Amino acid sequence: MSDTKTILIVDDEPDILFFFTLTLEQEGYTVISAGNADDAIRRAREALPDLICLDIMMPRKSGLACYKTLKQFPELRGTPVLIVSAFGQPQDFKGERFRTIIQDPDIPEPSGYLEKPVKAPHFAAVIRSLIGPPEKESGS
Amino acid sequence: MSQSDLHTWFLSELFDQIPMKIAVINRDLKIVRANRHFTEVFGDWSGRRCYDVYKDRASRCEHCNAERAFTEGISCVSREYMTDKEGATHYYLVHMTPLRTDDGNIPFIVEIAIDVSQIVNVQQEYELLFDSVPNYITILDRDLRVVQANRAFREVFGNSVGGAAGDFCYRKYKQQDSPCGNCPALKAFETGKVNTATMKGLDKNKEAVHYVVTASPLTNDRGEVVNVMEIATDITLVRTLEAQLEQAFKLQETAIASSFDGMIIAGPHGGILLFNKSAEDITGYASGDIRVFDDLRAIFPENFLWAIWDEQGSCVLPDATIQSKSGEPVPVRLSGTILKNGNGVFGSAIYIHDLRKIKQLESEKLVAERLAAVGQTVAGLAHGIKNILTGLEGGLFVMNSGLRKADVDMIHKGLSMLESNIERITHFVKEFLSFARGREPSVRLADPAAPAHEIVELYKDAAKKEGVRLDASVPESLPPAPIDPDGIHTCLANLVSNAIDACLMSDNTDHAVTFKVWERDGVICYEVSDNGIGMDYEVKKKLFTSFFSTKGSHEGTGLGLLVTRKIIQEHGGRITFDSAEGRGATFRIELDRARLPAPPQHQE
Repeated sequence: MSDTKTILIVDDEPDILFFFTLTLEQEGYTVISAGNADDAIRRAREALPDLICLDIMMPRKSGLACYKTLKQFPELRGTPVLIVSAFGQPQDFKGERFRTIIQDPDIPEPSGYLEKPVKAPHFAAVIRSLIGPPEKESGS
Repeated sequence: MSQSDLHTWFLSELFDQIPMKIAVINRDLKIVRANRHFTEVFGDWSGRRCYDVYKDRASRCEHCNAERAFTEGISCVSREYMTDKEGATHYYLVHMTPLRTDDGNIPFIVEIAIDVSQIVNVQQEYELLFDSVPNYITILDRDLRVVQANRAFREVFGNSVGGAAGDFCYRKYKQQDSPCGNCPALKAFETGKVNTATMKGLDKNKEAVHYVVTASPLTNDRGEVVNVMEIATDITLVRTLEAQLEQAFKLQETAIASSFDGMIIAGPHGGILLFNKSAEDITGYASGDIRVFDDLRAIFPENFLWAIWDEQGSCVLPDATIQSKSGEPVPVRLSGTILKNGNGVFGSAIYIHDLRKIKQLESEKLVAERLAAVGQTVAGLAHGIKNILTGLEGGLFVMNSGLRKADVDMIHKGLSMLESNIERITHFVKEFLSFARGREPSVRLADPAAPAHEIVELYKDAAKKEGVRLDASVPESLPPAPIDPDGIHTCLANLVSNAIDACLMSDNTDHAVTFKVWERDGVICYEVSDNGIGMDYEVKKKLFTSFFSTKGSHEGTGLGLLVTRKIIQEHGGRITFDSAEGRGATFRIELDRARLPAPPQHQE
C-alpha cells in the first residue's frame, strides 16, 4: 500500500480524465481512473479510494445510477464523493432537490459538487478541503 | 160464492194453490201432510222424514230448527239449501211454526219454504259488482260517516268502516278533522243532485292519492235523501305521468336552451322549428333570420346539408368550417341527421360544436411547447459548452505543465487537447446553427412509405458491415399525405442510426434492428426497435432534451432526437418510446392524417 491518499476519477471524456489525473498527481495524490460507471464501481470496490470524483452525464449508465450503487456497498458508503459535472447546479445535489433526483430516501447526499468547467487550482483546493493533504495520517 | 164455500176453498184449495212449499211434520220429523207445490218440487213424501226429503240426508241435520220449534215452542226462520227431486239445489227461506194443542203440546210443525235463490243471486251479483269495480265506492250517512265501503276503498284507505262506528269520509279519504270546503256529498244531501269534485287525499300509508269523486243521492220511497253514494276514480297515475311528462319537457327545454352546442331542428317541410341560443352565438344569426332549411346554405358547407337530406341521412364532420353572419370562418365540429320514426321522416337536426376555444388552446399549447423546447435547447447548449470549456481548460493546464517542466510530450498532449476541443466546438456550433435556423418544412402530397424505403436502402449495407441485422417491413406504398418527405427522412435516419448504435454498445451478439411501417385508422406509424443496450431512468428523462448524448462526447451532438421531435411536432404527430435498461428500445412515430398540415394550395 502506498502511503498517500488514493482518489478515483470517473469521467467518460479521456481529455478530462487526463486533466484531472495530472492535476491531482501534481498535488501528490495517488490517482486511479474509470471511463464509465461499471468500471468505476469495480475499481472502487478493489481499491477502496479515499475519495471519488464522479461525472454525471455518461453513456450507458449515468453518474447518478453509479452513485446509488456505490452507496449501497457498506465498504463504500462512507467514502466521500465529489460530483464534478456540467449537469445541474450545486443546489441540485442538496436537500429536497437531491431527494427528487435520486428517488431513494436511504442514499446520503454527496460530499460536494463542482460545476464544469473547473480550473486546476480550484479543483485541487476543493479536494484538499474534503480529505486533507495527500499524506495519510500515521497509524491509519 | 157463499161464505161457507169460501171457507171450504180456503181450507182445501188455498193450501194447494199458494205458491210456497208447505209441509206438516210430526215429532218424529216425518212429513204427515204437504201441499201440491211441495209435492211437485220434492216428489213423493209419504212416510219419509223431512231431512230425507229436503236434503237427501240419511240422518237429521246438526242444527235442527224443527227440534227447536218442538222443544221451545217458538217460530223460527232460517235459510237452507234444499235439494229437489231432480237433485237441483235451491236456496230457501224456511218458516217453522209450531202447532200447539189446547193442553200446550206441540204435535206438529208447519214448515213453509220460499225459494229465494233468485234474490240471493241478484244480491250476490250486486255485492260482487260493488266490491270488484276498480273505483272507490262508499255509502255515506248524513253525518258523512262511511256506512259501507267496497273492497277497493278498504284496501287503499284502510278497513275501519261500517255502521255508526264508521269513520267520517274526510278522515278516511284525507286524514283531516273536518269536511272539505267543496264537499260533493254535502251538496248531494242538500240539493238531491249528483255532484262531482276533484280531490287529493292520503291513503293509509299517507301517500298522495288523486281522485275524481261523484256523489249521488240515494233516496227512500218518500223521496228523501237518506244516503249518498260516492264513487271515486283514482287518477294518481295519470297525475304522476302528467307531472313526469311536464318535468321531462322542461328538462329537455332547459337542456336545449342552455346547451353549449348549437342545435337547429327543421320540420319535415324544411321550416326551422328550433335555433337555440348557442346556435345564435356561434353563427351570429338571430333565430328569426333563419326560417327555412334553405337559409342554412348561407352558413353550412353545401355538401354537409346535401349529405343529410339527400344522401345517407346523416353526416359528421369532425373538423369543419362554417360561415358566420359577419363572414368570419368559424371552426366547428358538425353533425347532422334526419329525424325518423315509424311513419317516416319528420324533420332534421344539426348540432354545432364550437371549436374556436379548442383551436386557440391547441395553438397556445404548440407555442408553449416550442418555448419549452427553446429553454431545453439553451440548457443543453450550456451543458455542451461547459464540457468543451473543461476540455480547453484541461488542454491549457497540460500545456502549461509541459512548458514548466520543459516536457515536449506533455506540451504536445496539451496542444492536441486544445485542438480537439476547438474542433468539437466548431462542429457543435454548426449543428446548433442548423437546428436553431431550422429548415422550413416543405409540405407536399407524397407517399409516406417513400422516405422509409430510402432509409432501408441507405442503412442496410452500413448495418450489415457492423454486424447488425436490419429487418424492414414497409408497405410498397401508402395513400399520399401532406408531409415533408425530407423531414421524415431525417427523423427515420436518426431513429435507425440510433438503434444501430445502441446495438453496437450492447454486449449482445445477435444484433437486430426492426423497422416497421403501417397505417391503421388514418394514423401512419413508423416503428424502430432494437435489441441493444436500452435506457435507464435518467436517460429516459433526458431523452428529448437537446445535447444529451449517451454515445460519448466524441460521437454525437445529442441533437438527433430533438430534431426528430421538432419535425414530428410540425406534422402534428407524436413520438413515443419504450425501453428498459439492457432490453433494447422501441421508438414510434405516429402521424394522424386528420392533424397533418394543410397541403399547399398551389405548388411553388
